[in-house]
Amino acid sequence: MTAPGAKAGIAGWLEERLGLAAIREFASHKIVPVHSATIWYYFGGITLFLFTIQVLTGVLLLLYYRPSPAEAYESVQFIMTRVEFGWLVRSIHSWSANLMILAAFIHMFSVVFLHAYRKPRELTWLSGIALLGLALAFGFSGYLLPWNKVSYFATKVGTDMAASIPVFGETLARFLRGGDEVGGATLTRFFGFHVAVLPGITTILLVVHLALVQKAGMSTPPWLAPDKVRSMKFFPNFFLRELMAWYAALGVLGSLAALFPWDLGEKADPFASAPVKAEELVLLVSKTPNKQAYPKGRQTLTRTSITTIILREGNGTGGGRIGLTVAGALGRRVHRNGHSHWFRLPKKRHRSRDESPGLGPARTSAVRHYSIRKQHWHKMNSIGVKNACDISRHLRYRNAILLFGPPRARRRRSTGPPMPPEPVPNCRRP
Amino acid sequence: MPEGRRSIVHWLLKGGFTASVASFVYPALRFMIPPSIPEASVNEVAAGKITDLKVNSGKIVKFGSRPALLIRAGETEFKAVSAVCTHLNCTVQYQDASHQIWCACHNAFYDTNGKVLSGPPPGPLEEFTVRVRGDEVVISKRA
Repeated sequence: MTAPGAKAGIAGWLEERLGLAAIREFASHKIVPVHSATIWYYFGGITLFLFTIQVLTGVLLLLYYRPSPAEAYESVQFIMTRVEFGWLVRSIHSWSANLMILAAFIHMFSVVFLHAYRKPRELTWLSGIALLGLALAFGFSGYLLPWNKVSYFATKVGTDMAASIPVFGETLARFLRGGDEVGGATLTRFFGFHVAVLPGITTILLVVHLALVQKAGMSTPPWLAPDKVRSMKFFPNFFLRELMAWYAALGVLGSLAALFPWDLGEKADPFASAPVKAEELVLLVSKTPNKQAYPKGRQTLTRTSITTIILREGNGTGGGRIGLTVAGALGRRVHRNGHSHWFRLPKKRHRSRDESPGLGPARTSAVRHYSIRKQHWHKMNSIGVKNACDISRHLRYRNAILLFGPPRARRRRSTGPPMPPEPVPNCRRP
Repeated sequence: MPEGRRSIVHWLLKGGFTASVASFVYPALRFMIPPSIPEASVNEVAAGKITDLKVNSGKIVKFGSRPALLIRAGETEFKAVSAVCTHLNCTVQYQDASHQIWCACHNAFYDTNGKVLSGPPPGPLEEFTVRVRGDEVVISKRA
């Protein structure tokens, strides 16, 4: 006996057992706000899509990869030279790792700038941050697996940085390395993290994150009147658009992987000197702030550099770096007073007094950059943090400083404006 | 069903989508096929010195990528057979007590020429020719 009105056939059979109508009902009510920043809603989905690509290509690579120092490099070489389409699969895995970090960062900064982290979405935000951390851990652990020179030394440096954490740093570093030195034990361990531990945790957190998004619905920026915001149905309107975005992402990914195949490098040798091109290390050291120049501003600056350092380590660093730069640029483009307008520059450009017509173009640009830096520096340090809005303003200026760099003494020109006074970190609760 | 021009657009979209999905699946399937590693076909191997093998004993030697069983039945009598059981690919061993070849997996017995005496194997073990060059034993495939 079927209930009255029940459908016949396979659809009816499934309906009785799964209750798909409830899901369809829920999906039909899900809406997506339509406004000038709607485009940023796609990036969470793109991150998810790239994660799926990572899982699929990762499983394929697992068929041939061997996690031991004697065989790891050779097995990757085998994948790239002997297995059909092996070079492509590995290249896609590497490129997708970077693009995923990039997409995750864009997603995160869009949440920051659209103020979507506020009540009642704090848990969504926190689970997202945890997922971002996991993504970076994926990158760091996966980077070692080909067992080439660069990855070997990157892991040495990375675990050494972990050792500098107070109190439990040494223990953590030993735990990560599986011993006192980076070696075969580290490789086996990182392989275990990369293919078992991290995917497990990520899957659980991902389910939580997505469930929370469903529970709270899509966030509308607070400066838009809720009754005036248009909306579209999630299914099928937004869903199909998202599919198109995935298709585009896949196109970009495929082109990058095919046109710029990922390099394998030389096999790691624990008793060889570090390669000349120490990838991130040079940048990292050069960007570390000069403590003597800014003894009091050190606190804020160091925090910034730590973020930068974390982003620079491991695989997916390219994506992270670009993500940060893009975010900085976006943050800069947020209207300086009042409401945010994405990709809309303020109508009245700020004209500095230094920008007098008598100066040459190069000189003008240098002066203007200097003045922007000075401005942001002052603003960042003058904001008293009282609420989320202040934090976001603070972050915005910090991003700008990250983009332009802090005002440095060597930038001072003889005719330039004087240095700003010693900044005092002021980002404390009153 | 849409009609006319619209149906053509639909078919183009569906066809394009299907074709692109096929282009993603194809490399993945090809990737899964293990590449064949060409191994030089072995016809003859040196199986060691005479003095290494006692009378009424056998040892497993590498014959290409598969094992072979070399048996010293008498002072000058050597025999060699493929050590891969014809039942389910287990590696057989020589039993000095019974002077027979025994497969531990399903309790099969062969005589030293590889002929099945008892148990499930469907056919005999492949026999190899054994020659002694100086003090070295050489196993080769029968032509």
